[in-house]
Amino acid sequence: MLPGGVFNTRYEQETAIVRTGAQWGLLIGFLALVLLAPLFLSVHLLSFFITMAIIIIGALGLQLVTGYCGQIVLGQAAFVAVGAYSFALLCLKLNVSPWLAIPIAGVITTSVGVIFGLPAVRVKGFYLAITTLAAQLIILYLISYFRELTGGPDGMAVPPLTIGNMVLIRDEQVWYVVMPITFIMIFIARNLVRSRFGRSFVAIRDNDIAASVLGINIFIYKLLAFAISSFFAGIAGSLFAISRMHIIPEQFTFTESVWYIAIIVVGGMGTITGVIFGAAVLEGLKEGIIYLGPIVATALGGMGTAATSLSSAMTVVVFGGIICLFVMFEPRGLTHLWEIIKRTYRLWPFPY
Amino acid sequence: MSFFLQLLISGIMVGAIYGLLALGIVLIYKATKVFNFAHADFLMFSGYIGWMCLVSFRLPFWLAFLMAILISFGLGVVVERLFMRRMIGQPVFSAIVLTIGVAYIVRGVVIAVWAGETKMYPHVFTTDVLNFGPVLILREHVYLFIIAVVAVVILVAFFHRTKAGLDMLATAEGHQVSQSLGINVEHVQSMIWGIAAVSAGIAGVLLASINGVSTAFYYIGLIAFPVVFLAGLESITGVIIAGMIIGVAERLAIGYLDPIMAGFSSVFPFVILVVIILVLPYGLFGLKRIERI
Repeated sequence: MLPGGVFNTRYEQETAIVRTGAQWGLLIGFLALVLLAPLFLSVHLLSFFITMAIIIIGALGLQLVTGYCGQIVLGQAAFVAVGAYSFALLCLKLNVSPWLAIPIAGVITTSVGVIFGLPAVRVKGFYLAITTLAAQLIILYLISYFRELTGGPDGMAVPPLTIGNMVLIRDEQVWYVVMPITFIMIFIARNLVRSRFGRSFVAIRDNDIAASVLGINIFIYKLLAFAISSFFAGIAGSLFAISRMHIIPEQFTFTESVWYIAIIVVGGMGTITGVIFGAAVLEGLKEGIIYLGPIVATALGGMGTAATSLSSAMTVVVFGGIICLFVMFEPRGLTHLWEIIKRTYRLWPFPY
Repeated sequence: MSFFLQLLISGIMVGAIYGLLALGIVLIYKATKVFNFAHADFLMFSGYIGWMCLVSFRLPFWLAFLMAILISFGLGVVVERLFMRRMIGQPVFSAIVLTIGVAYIVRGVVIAVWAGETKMYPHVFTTDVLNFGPVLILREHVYLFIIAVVAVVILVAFFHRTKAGLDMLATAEGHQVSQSLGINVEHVQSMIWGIAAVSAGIAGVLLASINGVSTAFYYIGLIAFPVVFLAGLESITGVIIAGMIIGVAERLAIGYLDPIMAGFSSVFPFVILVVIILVLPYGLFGLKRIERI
């Protein structure tokens, strides 16, 4: 809903993403803030926001295939792993320039995704959930099996990005790589969902038979949604590898895949803003649990190993509980709440 | 040859338990079109409950077994009442995501209570070995196999021979129709979740008595998915056969593929799963439903 007094007089205004002067102001202000952030943020906060941005890219992909196309993907973390490992292997074994390796890793992840997506998208139902669950287990197995390439459970070191003679290893430097890519990916996703493709995805989600009657090739579009999602995961994976500089299979477990689902559930299914809300809230919550968990566990009377297991149990319960609460009580997620707040503010003092 | 037979027999035996486990997923899927991703955690939960009854409370095996069944039933009913009942009339998609949330809550409870440790079961039956020609089988495993098969037979008989079971099958066909026939759908759904949890409960105790129970049990529980898809999602009797096929495939992978590719048997059922969906998307005994708008 637009604030009062804003009227569309031309078609371009109708289709613009940024609609009002205030929005332009906020956007430019925010971009300036992001640009200057390394000057005043602590290293800890910088790496927190870098992780969040990477998670946002991965979750954007999941949002496209799950939120917009209605196909559950239970292996997003494994596809992120494919991106991370193929980036590292491209740089180390094939001596590809790291800048070039980022998009190539995305393409490799897309093709791995298509291998697992192809059988599932032919049939109606939640088959993609199952084949991607299989992908999660198979990919992680293959990573730990090819020990001489990937280092197995010990993981592998990732070469840093370079510009000329400058090596980008510090968080402030990585920041200026990750943030622009994140903004570009958000922009791509935001535009994709209002294009012919995005509208076809929504049509398939809402009623696939009706969509096919309208002339949408369900097979192609479902596969396309999943391929795009894998591409996002691949980009997220290579950025993850760049920012961590050391990757281990433990970072890409099934729980991480469910974490991505939790992000889009909490943020709101079928919205791009929801991904950002969800990632911000859940990553913040994760930090909070890591910090508070041991304290609460000790307060509850646990000692030593008992406290450790109690705090990890609490993490798991909070994690599951949040998914349940949002699905049951706020299925449209935080975005819906945000929309209500925005509308109330714009209409105030009138109720509607 | 005797090595092959050995793997075959042990595969069939463990496969019967997988079939029993998968039965729970099929039941819930038939009745509500929801995949229960919490099933593997139900399995883990009841494995620990069985251990608690056997070791902490020092109950005899049959009583511990009965307790585990009752507590699993309770778990299923509680999960249905607290979470799934709100999903009646909501999109199936939300219900599936909800089961993932439930899975983590159950797992968190298990970690909180048993600290995620590996717990070994005491030997319940005599540990002697039976000789069938060249094949050696633990007597224990024969008993476990018999219990699993009997449990499946009882469950199948329950569905096809009793009023309550037929109500459940009717509900599976359509909520509105069965409601107008005077079936209490909410009640039936809560029974179905209870019985599905019991199938995971029995399978949990049986599997745990072979190798002990740990948090890695969760991954064993995921084997139910290949079984369900091989059976074709909707066939109650099909799952037991599919379970045995997957069980045999897994044992053969342990015997023949693991020496070549270490640990491959743990993901082999999932490789089969992808192939099944590629070749036989409706499984061996599934129904291809034709839909209208």
